[in-house]
Amino acid sequence: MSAPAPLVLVVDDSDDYRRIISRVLAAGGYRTVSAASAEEAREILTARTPDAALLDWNLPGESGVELSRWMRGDPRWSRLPIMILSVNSRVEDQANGLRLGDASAYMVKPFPPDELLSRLRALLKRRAGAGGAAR
Amino acid sequence: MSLEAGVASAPSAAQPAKPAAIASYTRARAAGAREERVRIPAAAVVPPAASPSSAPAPEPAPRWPRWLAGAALLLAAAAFALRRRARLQSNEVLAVAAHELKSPLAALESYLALMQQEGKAGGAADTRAWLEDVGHMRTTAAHLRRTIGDILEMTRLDDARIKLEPRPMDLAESARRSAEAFRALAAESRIELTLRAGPAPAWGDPTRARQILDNLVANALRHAPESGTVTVSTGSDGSGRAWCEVTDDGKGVPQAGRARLFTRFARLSPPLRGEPGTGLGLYIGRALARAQGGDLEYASGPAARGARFRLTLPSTRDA
Repeated sequence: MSAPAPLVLVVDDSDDYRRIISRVLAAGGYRTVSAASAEEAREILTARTPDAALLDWNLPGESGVELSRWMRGDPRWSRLPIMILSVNSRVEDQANGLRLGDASAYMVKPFPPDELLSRLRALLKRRAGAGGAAR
Repeated sequence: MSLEAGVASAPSAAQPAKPAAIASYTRARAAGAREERVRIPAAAVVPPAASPSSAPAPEPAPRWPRWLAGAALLLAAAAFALRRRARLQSNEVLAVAAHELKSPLAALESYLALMQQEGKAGGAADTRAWLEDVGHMRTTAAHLRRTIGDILEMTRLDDARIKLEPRPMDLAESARRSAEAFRALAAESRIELTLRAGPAPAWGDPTRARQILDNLVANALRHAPESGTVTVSTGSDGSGRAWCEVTDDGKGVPQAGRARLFTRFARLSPPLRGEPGTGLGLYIGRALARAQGGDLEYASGPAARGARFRLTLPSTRDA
């Protein structure tokens, strides 16, 4: 029996982006579970165990970067591949997003669907190669 | 700003010469120079211009008292600082507004990229999926248009360029019309929309009052749970003010976020249904209410579940 497809947590307050990302990931062979806020994401994390997380930076209330930082403080998610997504495209935004969220990667919206898949694939591969350490 | 206009007024023969700092400031302003480059020298008084040799000996030039020159310098510096602060705040708002516009634009671009990729992969025959995408894109474009409209409304309000037409009005009637306008949408979401209209004679602009109420009811419908309730009630309080409250039984606004609720682009929780707001509705609503002598407040208690917004308007012109 083959292993189930990797599960990706998608957190974005934009209906559009939750829909777009889920479709791109489904086409790439991933399963997704999505949330519109950090609060919803925390609820999901009590019941599901994703293999990676894509977090929008600008969420209502707690931001994606804050959620990422919180996840890093939990042993269950401390080595999870986490990618911050944002329309903030300046280099310093990217550096801050990665540093403040202690995230694995940063991707600027809008992105080519292929690029999202290839970067996610690389993160998951790195994690598998490092025995579970993606950071 | 009247303060600045007074300091930088044009020189005239009837007036004593201006201190050099003020004259230089005025020249720089007139030349469109950046204010950061305007320097205020320590010397406060300009000597009078030399007279032609044939003229009789001039009267001693009038001198500004030192305290007056000092005060003028202080006023000029204060005006400069105020304008600089206003410009920084304005830039900050512009940056946030730009971000709000970038997000839906990015989504539109991503839809197009997705459609293009699927088309290349041979998915062009799946016209149903494409039509769905086009539908989503239209919704996003409409959201973008609403956001731009609200940004323009915000700038008009900030610049006091909104023309209000206050007159005697019935806030209960405005509430009734607003509730009726949203009744079909509420039914679609299986939300019970109740109107409790008590007498609420008010002094205000009925069109603007309706704009505020429509935004409150639309927000409540987005945040009420499935099969929840939204109540619109009106009345008059003991101090001669008309009020209208819009309540829902959703999660309400967390205590920590209430201070930001009426700020620009504040979005504290995602809606349970429907399109997200522009983040400007409550800011605009409060500004409109205050421009009419009223107010818009979040009225839920600290531990109360659900959100309660209260619009008040004066009951008469003089109230």
